[in-house]
Amino acid sequence: MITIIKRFVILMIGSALVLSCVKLDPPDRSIKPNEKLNEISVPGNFNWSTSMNVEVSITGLPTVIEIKNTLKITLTDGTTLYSALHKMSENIKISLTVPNETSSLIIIYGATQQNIPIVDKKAEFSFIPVVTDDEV
Amino acid sequence: MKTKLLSILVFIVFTPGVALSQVTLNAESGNRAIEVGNCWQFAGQTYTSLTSEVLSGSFSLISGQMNSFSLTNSFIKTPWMKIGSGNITFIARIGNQPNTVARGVRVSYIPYNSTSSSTGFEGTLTTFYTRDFNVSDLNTVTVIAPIPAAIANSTSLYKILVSFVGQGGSGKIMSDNYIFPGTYWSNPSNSCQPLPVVVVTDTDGDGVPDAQDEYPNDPYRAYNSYFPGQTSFGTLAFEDNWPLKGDYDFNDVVIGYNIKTITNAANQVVDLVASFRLLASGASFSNGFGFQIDGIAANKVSKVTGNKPGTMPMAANGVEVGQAFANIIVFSSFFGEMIRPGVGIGVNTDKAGPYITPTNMQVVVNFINNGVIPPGGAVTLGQLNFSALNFFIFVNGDRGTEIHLPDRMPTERVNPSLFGTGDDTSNPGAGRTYKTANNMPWAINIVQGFDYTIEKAAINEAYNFFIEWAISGGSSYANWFLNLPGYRNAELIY
Repeated sequence: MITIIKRFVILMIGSALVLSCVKLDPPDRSIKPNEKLNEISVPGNFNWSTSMNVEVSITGLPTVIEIKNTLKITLTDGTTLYSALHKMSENIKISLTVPNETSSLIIIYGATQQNIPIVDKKAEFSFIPVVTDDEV
Repeated sequence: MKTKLLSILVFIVFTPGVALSQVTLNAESGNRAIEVGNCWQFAGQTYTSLTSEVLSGSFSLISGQMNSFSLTNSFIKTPWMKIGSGNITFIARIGNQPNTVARGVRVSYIPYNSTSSSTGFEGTLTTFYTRDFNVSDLNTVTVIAPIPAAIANSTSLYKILVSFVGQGGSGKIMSDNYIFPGTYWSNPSNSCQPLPVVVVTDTDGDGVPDAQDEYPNDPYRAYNSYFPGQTSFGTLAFEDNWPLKGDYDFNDVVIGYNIKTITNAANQVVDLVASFRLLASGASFSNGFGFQIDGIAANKVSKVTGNKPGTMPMAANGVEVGQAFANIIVFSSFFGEMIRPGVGIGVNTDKAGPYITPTNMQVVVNFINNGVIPPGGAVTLGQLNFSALNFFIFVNGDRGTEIHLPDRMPTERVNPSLFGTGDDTSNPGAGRTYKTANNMPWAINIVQGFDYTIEKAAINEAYNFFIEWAISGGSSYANWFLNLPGYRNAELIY
């Protein structure tokens, strides 16, 4: 009888010990990678980015007196990417990060607001106006 | 420290002695467009560099053929000016052509009329000088037109119109070396309207008028620039099993970001305000997150606030110690900032678990503190383009196991012995990092924002054109992440 009780107690204690073990999740270093993604061939120079760097070149206008005003470069939705006090006579190159689908930027300077296209990740603007022979 | 007085500035005019006593035109720019940009107007006039036509220097003005006595057929017109006193002078010569009947010049003034926007604010013209040239005299002559008393030294604004008239023959009129006594008073940046007559208010005296200053009462701040938008957030999504491949659900750490750069009137960066949303972490690891500002020395930072580096050692200015470039540890443990609900793995990747409101963090990296530039010097806006921000996670408290976007350089705290092990094929010396043998990454950055996948759902299973985008090198399905018909399997997106 006592032997049975002893065995029962041992069995109960043993069960409790087994069931109470808290198994910590080990770092999962055996994740099975996605097979399809392992098989595709991605170009080595692909940067996986949904944005691009655009170089904006601004040509200054030699002015009679120093003219400073706020230069803003925005996306077409109005987001200001660049805002700074700028001399109208100064040439400047600015590198901006824009979403990949961006095809043009907006330059705002004083009363000037002009949409400039992005071509081969470059955009250009000049403060020197285009003058035709019959310009008045 | 600047005192905040009401500073009266004519903000456009900075150069001492800018009130010029003369306005001149000599064509030496060689490009009429430059004069037009400076508010001169021309009709029937071009620049010539022909030796037979140049009167002075390398270029002179030359008219077209003269067959009209209209004042508006062939002219030069000055910008808005405050007229001085004395004489308007220039030199001129008639071109040698037969059948010339008459050649002459007329000089007029045009007053500013603030009510006449339809005429460019030009009022009624008054001719005050007339000269008819001797058509047989082919020498260069000096034209001297006395400024009339009615406008001399006036505080009002005028333009001067010099008109060339004539009849017969094809001979043109060359001219050069124009001198108009007075002060240039036009604004090329404001549609050639006059410079402000009323002084412009610049309350904080930083040189940026209040109307343009986004911080009109703060002399140390002036402008805001944003990425990816003023209120929109991009998304960073990481796998944390590097250098081994993960399951490509790209939800082990998912963070939204918005960057605002605050600059001063000198276009120096004062603050970088980085707002983060801790969206999800479908991971067993509690990962840390930070960013390096590539190319910006650590001692160009004055202080960092809003971050939670925990017990990680930071320098006195708040950047991570022992790094040449500024490194900001945003948080050291994701699950220290967002508590796991205990259902599924991590937080906010298992639809069976409760949604936990994302934790928002705003980290401010201050570069110039109250106008004081730190020992490393100032940072310009051009130097702090968004592309300089090099985001990374570090895995489960192990600072050396850091994971960056593909081909971004690691920080100096990385454990370099991990490169090239497991599935990683990095060669940092060649600029290649964090890519597998078939160029798969361990992190992606969707600047337009991104709806991440549920736990264990690979990104290509949730987004039907992800693979097409990848194998095309980004040229196809560049908008793969958008919620367009057929683009996604919604049941696999959280």
